[in-house]
Amino acid sequence: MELVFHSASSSYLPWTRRGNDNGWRPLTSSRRSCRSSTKLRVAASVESRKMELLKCIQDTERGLSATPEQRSSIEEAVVSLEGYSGGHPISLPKLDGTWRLQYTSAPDVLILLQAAATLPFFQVGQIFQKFECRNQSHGGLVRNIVRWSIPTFLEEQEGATLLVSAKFKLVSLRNIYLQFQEITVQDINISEELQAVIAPAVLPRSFINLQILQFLRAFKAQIPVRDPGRESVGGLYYLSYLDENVLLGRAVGGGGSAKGNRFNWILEEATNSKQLPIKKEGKMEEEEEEAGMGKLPEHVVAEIFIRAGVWEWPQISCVSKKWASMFRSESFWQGALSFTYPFFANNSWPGPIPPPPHPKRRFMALYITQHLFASDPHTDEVIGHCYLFLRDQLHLHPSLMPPHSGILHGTLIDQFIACGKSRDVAHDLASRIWLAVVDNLHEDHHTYSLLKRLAQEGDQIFLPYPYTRSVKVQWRVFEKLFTDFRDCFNNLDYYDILACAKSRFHPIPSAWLGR
Amino acid sequence: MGSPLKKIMLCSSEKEIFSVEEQVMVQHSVIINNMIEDGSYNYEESKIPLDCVDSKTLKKVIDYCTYHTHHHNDNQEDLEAWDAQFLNVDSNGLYDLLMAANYLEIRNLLDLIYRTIKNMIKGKKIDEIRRILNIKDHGFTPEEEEQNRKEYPHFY
Repeated sequence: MELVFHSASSSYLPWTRRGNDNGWRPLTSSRRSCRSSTKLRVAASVESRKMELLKCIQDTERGLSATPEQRSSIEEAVVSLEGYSGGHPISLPKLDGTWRLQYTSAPDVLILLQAAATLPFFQVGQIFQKFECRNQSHGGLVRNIVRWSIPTFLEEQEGATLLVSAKFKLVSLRNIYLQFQEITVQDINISEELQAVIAPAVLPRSFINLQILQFLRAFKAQIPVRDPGRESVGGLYYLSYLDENVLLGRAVGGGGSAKGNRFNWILEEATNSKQLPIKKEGKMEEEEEEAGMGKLPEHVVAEIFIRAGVWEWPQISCVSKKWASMFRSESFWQGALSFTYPFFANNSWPGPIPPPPHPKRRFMALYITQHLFASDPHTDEVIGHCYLFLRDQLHLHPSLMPPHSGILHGTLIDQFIACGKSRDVAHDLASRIWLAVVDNLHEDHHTYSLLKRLAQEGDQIFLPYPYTRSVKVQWRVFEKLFTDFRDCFNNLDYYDILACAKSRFHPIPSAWLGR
Repeated sequence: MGSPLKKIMLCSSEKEIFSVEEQVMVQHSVIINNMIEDGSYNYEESKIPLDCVDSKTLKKVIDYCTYHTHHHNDNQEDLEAWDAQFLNVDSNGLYDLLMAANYLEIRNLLDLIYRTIKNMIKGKKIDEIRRILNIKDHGFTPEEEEQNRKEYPHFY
């Protein structure tokens, strides 16, 4: 992949002159012999070579429309510029900052640019690479930032940002080792077609797998690019040239595949980093001051909590506000899922209640299946989802009454039958879910009016064959009304509900009588 | 993947060089395993720079990996006893170890430390947890703190 990143503020010129402190070291022996006297000349010739390179890439639309001839002359210009920094170790302070993509031969990025060129609704803005390594000496973080937009739907150039972050380590003088950590999409909701276009384009091919695409489809913040079974994807990159405003790099064949350069890229410094929609994490600075646990990165802290068990989570979220916010992040729930339910497969099933995309919801469903219904979470995840479905339907809005209970009951039975349960089992499961939900309702006024309505619905409900209503569930509704909510009744309601109860159950228990 | 006798060099933040059997690190550290596997490590000249790991911590990490490589057939109780002894350090030492294990991606050591810290806070009141884990600024406004206290009085 050839990428050229260029300073955002100055489009091409003027180049900042380098001082004499660490002058260029040309490789040819003739130049080396008279190095001291020709520093200025060398600097000038570096500038001219950079100009040459930039001229070569000027009309290539960041590499998209480069012809084979252009590619080879660019390669030549790259090589001639690389000659000027042979052997110097990478200077991290110089690397630190934001670089803008000027040219690439990387097929993965070219697909993205091509998509932008062919799809009228899709525009790829600047592509940045941001190195964060100011105070480090052997590594740091690198973020690939792709800005894109859809005219008329999203503001141009401010549309959205896809972030691919990786940590890197210097492994030798000029090689960095990248490990991808997570992909973040900031502030955005996009359609499925676009996800299909973007996902494969930005990610290195080796880790396009279904799972990640599914995560992307859900499009929430922070997707860790690692799954429990496999290591995160890494790659070795060779930074062939670096100065204040130009960075050239090449991806080196890794993983035992073909040797040699796979592709290279050219980056130019983007000095005006304010243009980036990346939120500066002010937290980072605070963390440095903090001692103890505070200095641990969030994902490390999350790993501790994941092991602490669900019942301790409410307490943990009271310890510190930062921790409380952790429970709202998708990555926490993803981690909890893979730790607590290692065999969890992101599987789908037919029926009216589809699996939700959010890992928190799936974690809750698995947990409910296991603990509330004592069922195997790996085969019966759907039970937990039916529970959550029914609970949510009953709780939609305090002022809104839920759908008719017959409809909900029928939906649950349909769902279980769609999942291959026999009719009897489906009926039984549906009643158990009703009982569990009714038992776990909050004792508030909304619940009272809900139960009252369920009691009054009574026999007016028509359930098509082969569905029947569960007597047990009806019994529990009345029982709850006459015991837990006895004080809420006014006279009229009480006699009305009592009449409903009498029409259904003979005899009614004496505990239900009297107010 | 290399032969068990091969050595690799690790360099701590104090620039102290530690020479370790390759097999020991490859078996435990995901990141070193990756480097060796994809050929980014050069046996003649590479030293793997571990900048966020000081010598004291690095030595402990190497101890852990070495012990677990050579004693993985021991019975579980002995290993647990050794682990408990190994983690008998102050909380700052524990954090340093955690950061090192996280950086090098040493799964079983990470898991061990996670469980240890988890047990440190288990069943404790909130103020105690804040003290044990050295959390000075919890970030809640007084109103939010009051609200939490009302909602979950048994935590405090």
